[in-house]
Amino acid sequence: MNKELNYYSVKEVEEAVKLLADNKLKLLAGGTDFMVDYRNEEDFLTGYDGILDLSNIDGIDEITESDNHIEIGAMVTHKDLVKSDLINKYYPALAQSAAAIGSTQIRNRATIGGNICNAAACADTLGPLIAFEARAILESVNGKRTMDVSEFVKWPYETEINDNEILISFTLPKPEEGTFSGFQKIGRRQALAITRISLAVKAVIESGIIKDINLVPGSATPVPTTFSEVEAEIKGKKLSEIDSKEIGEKAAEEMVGITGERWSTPYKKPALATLFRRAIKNLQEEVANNG
Amino acid sequence: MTDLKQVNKSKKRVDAKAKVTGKAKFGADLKFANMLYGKVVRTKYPYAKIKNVDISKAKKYPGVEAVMTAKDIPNNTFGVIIQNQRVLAEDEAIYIGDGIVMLAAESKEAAEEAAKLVEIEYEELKGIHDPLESRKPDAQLVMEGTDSNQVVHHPLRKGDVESGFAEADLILEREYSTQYIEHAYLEPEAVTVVPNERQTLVSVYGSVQNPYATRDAVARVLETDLSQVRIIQDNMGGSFGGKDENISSMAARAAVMALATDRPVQMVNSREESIIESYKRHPYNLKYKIGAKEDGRLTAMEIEAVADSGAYACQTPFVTWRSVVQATGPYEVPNVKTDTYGFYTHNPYTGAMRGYGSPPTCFAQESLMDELAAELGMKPDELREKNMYRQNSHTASGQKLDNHTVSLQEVLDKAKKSINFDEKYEKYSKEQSGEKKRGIGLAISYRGVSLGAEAIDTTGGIVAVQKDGSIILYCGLAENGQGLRTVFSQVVGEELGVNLDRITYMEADTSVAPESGSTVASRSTFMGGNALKKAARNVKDTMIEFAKEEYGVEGNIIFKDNALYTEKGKKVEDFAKVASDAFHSGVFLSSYGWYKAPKISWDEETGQGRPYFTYVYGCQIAEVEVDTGTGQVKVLNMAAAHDVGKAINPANVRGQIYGGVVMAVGQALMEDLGFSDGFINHTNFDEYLIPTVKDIPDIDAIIVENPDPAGPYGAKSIGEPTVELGGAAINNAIAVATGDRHYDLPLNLEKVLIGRDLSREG
Amino acid sequence: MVNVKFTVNNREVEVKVDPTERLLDTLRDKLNLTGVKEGCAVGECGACTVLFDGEAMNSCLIPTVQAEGKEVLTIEGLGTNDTLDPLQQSFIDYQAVQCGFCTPGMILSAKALLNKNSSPTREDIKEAIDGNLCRCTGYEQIIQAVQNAADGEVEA
Repeated sequence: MNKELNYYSVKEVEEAVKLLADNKLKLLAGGTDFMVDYRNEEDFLTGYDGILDLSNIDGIDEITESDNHIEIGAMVTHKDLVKSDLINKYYPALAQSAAAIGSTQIRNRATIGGNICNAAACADTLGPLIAFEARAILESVNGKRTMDVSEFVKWPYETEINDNEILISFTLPKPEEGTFSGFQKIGRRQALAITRISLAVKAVIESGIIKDINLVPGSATPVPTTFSEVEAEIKGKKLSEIDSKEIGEKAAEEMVGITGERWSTPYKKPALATLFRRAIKNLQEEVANNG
Repeated sequence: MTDLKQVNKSKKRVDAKAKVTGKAKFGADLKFANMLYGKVVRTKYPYAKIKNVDISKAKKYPGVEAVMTAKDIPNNTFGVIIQNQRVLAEDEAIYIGDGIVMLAAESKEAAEEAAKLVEIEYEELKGIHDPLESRKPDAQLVMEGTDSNQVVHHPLRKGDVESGFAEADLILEREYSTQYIEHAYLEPEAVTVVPNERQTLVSVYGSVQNPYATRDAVARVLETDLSQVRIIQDNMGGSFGGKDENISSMAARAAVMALATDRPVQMVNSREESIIESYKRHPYNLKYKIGAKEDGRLTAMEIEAVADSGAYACQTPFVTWRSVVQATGPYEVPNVKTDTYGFYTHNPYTGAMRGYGSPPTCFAQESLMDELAAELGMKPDELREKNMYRQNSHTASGQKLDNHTVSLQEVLDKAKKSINFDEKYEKYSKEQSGEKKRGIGLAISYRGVSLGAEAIDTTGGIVAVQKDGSIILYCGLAENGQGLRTVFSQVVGEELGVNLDRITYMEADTSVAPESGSTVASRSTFMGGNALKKAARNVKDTMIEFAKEEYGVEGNIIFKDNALYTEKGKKVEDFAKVASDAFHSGVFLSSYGWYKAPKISWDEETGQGRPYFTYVYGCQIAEVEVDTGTGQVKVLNMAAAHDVGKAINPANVRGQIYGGVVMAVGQALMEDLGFSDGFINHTNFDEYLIPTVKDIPDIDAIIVENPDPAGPYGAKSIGEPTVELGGAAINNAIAVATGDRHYDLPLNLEKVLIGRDLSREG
Repeated sequence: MVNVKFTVNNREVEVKVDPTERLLDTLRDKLNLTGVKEGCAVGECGACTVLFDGEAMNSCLIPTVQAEGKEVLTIEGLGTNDTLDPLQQSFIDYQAVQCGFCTPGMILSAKALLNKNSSPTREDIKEAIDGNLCRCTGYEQIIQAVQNAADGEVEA
């Protein structure tokens, strides 16, 4: 433990980025990853001048609605996502993925910003964020930067964030009429479970036709990515005519196309096929029920 | 029997209040003046020569008071059965948890930082990691001073299996395997050793499951008298058999450092240290060959069970002994050939874990019985009923079951009724639509109560009535969290007619209570209950004699409601007053009660005899839903019927059933150490998974009572029977749901979906 | 070292801590509140659960510096010397305590639930304690105890 470490707690984003401009600081959000990594990694704080606590910054822990967008502050907790009327209304898949994380205690504390910046391969909210075409907003002394979340997370534990930046929020476009979404997760137990494989889906259905669809599996590829081959296959087609089994198999092939044969592939192929199959079927049922 | 007031009642646990208020102290909560914090540096490799150990930098770290190696330990070996467990490894490390250096410092941080400065030079060696390999005659030897890797071999021979198989219309041969199980007690190991305290050389406080076994180990290591080592047990955050040798090791280490520094030394494991160092349930490889007639009658069973003993012998000889006794399951089989073995490997050592040698064999044999039933075109319960023990049946050891009620039919019927087995079995055996398929499966077992032929089976207790009528109880058996404080208080309370709030059960203290054997084998209620009942009886007799003389009472005296009454119901005096009067008249109101278990016998060559003096019977039936698209298994319902003789505390018994069933669900579906080539990869609860509240089935805990003539109030046993059945019941249910039979635990996502395990090694 | 002022069990406290000191250690070692237990140190078992501004959280994952101005409740803050909190009494009455190590954290998670939802369903209760591992009880009697404390009606 480095006793020389400085600790900064600020109330404004402006203060935070000023500090980051001049110091190499480790960012502290909810602490649920920070404290584990600090304990397990010898060099976690090596080379850092101090710790910058983001938990007291005004204005980045709220979910706000504007005409075309919903903005989710980086310090919004998973519990907030689960309970939010706005999230449940517009982005059910995101609420479902947040509900599937960890445990009540973890959800009460872990933030969406912290979770995405940590960028674990199995981060459950990443898939839905990509499926909803969320954008990440970063800020530094040089101003704001915005990019697609799919670009922001490059590789497991690697993001585009610069040393002098903090992530302040995500913006998600409000879904258009006819949007359906869902999230499925497979874990080895029903709580406190690392995701073995998951699938986030967001689809826009117009007159029974798939106008647009994003299918983003989690823990299937190094970082969650939209499965464009399968999507291209079914875009523009009549939802009720899609053979869900076929789509499942195609998705499994697309995954192997990205990852190659890995030790876990014999399980992930059929399991992913199941999730895709069910996503399509659920969509078909939901759309049929909604008339 | 007269109306019971304390016994057979769901009395609230006497230790509950302290626990719900946070006042109950556990090992790591203790603080002693001048206390040091101990830490152990363990090997980097499962098998390696220790070429050099440099502790010079660690010694210099500020706050460090002691840094020691095996050289500093008076006697470096101990063990409950075979004394070959090293306190610290010296020339070579033989399993991944072997400790090499220990140190004590002023603060936890100092201890941790200093530990990082210990430099150890290794020569990594190729170890042997499979007991099926280490059993081979030319295999490299794991344990020095031996000429083979065999720890033990238990044979059992009954009849003639060759002719038995010749008689059979159908023979099945199957191979099963069960995995390492980590006890996963919520409280990691914690002890504090105080040197030169009061009249002893060392006092040991903390999470000690078997105070006398730990005392033996510490006294041996320190080369001192037993009377000079005092173990006082604190509240234990769970044990399940897991805080025996590893705690003895921890206590011995702390004791050596405490004496060297003349300061108390506290050692608390992190979860990773606990999982890496502590012993596990033995993984078993089991080969079963079973022969049956067309009508389902079993003619022969040939069984070979190989247990991985890991680096040390620990309790392998006893664990595998229970296996040899019970491997056939509760069935009349005229011809039996069973061989159980334990072999050394460079793997984590293995020892006592709830159920001991029976969960692995029960998994195999109950899974096999279902498969056999299917082959014969019989229902699973029909095949069981055709062969299971009834009154006066003979076991594989030739023991006639005649001194207690053999209640397999009863537990089977009650469990079936509770979960609606017949209807569900029929429904689920038919074709099911959709990807989520349901199944139902049963398992039955019998289990010998207490130690059997493992060791001398005796227990002692003291009932000490104080002059104000309050009562102090002592017993050498230790509260592990299972509730024996309360149960023992109930037994004494019943005998003496005193309410529990006037009874204090002292924590086990080896300098006070008589050595009573270990708190294992689900023996406490039976053995401790009997011992304390005797002690209470003695005191009661004394009080009766006194009362008759003092108060001129004639006829029988009844003890109830904190008072003494005549037969006719007239109150003689308050219990407290009688105690006071007796004390002031010079009457001694304490008594020992010593209970020796009924006679058993065992022939080591043939496995014939009376291995246990009585048995309990259980049946568990699992209803599952298998997601055939993902491999997930949900256990929806579990009916668990257990004959306990008499439930001293029904709510406690139910608690043991719920806990055992959920533990079995974990073992069956998700518990996995991520073990490979001597390394444990799943070292914390994020990867070693035990059931959360969302993973539990709805459990119907069915208490069956057929009082045992030898048990206190007829009570027998519950702790372990509850954990041995779930694996097979779930496996059998999965088979009904999917048509797939499985042979290797755990039945994780991969096994259920694609039929095999996957590992990074391919 | 950082000065941190916060409230524990309704008492104001002030401590000096390193930025990375865990709330768990501050509570146990500096404030002698040993009812908070360490089971795994990585937020996977819930034995260290405290209420943090009314929400159940793992104190092994909270740096004490983040407790500034907050209200922390540990098991020692429930009930008084004379009267137990209804939850505590219910745990006793429903035999929901075996070894007792998970108990403080378990009760606090349940307390957080009952503070918000006075008539939880069985599923609500499971959700509230899904981060509290128990190896002894199989959870069933714990669920019953919480149900009973809520509305006196136990779905057995």
